[in-house]
Amino acid sequence: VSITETLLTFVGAPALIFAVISLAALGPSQMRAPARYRPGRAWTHEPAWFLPHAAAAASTGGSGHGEVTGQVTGQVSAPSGANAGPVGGASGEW
Amino acid sequence: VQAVSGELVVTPQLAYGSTAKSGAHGFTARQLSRIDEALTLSSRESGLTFSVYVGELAEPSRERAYELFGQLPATAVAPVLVAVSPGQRVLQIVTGAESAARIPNKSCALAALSMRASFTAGDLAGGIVTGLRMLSDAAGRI
Repeated sequence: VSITETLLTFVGAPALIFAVISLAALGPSQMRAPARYRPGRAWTHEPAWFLPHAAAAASTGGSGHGEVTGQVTGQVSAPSGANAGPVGGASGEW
Repeated sequence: VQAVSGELVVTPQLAYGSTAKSGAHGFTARQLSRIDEALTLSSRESGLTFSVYVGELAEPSRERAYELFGQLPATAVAPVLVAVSPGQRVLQIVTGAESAARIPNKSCALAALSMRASFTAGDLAGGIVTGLRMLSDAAGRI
């Protein structure tokens, strides 16, 4: 048995099996993942707006905030006590 | 959330898991679920309604953030808006009367600072999660 054959059997074969399994495991998710954000590059994705799940908001107690359902169109709603308008906050740039 | 004839339509529920079109928002399903968890936990613990917007903010971005804040559903209790525009590299945190009483501007600035640190490193989801945690910590528990 030559050294080449030994190397192929004990190093080459495991490496090949390792590579095939890693590709099968990681490949599909790598293909699906959106491109990573890099500062300075344009952001071409759709705008997204997230609110907590209604159940979480409802479990905080208090009154007058039932389930958040359906869609809210872009009109500014009549100011209510809870959501009367912006008061403070902070800004940042990077 | 989609722009429909120039107006934003809010879909108040966060879609995540295998059904989410993760590519459309620019986040992976895993990142979406991290944001969802942070949103839910921080809102539940503090009693405020945290809301995260990721996308373009028309100039002037501060006024646009105020506009978005006004569009939050009236059912939202003590809302706090965290608006991030990765393309413009701008982030805005907006508090209302009720939430400003719980989170002073100084704490908002601190949260914005650590969000900036993550964003500079290219970690959008991480920065959002950190910001939400810091804001809810600043607000304290109900």
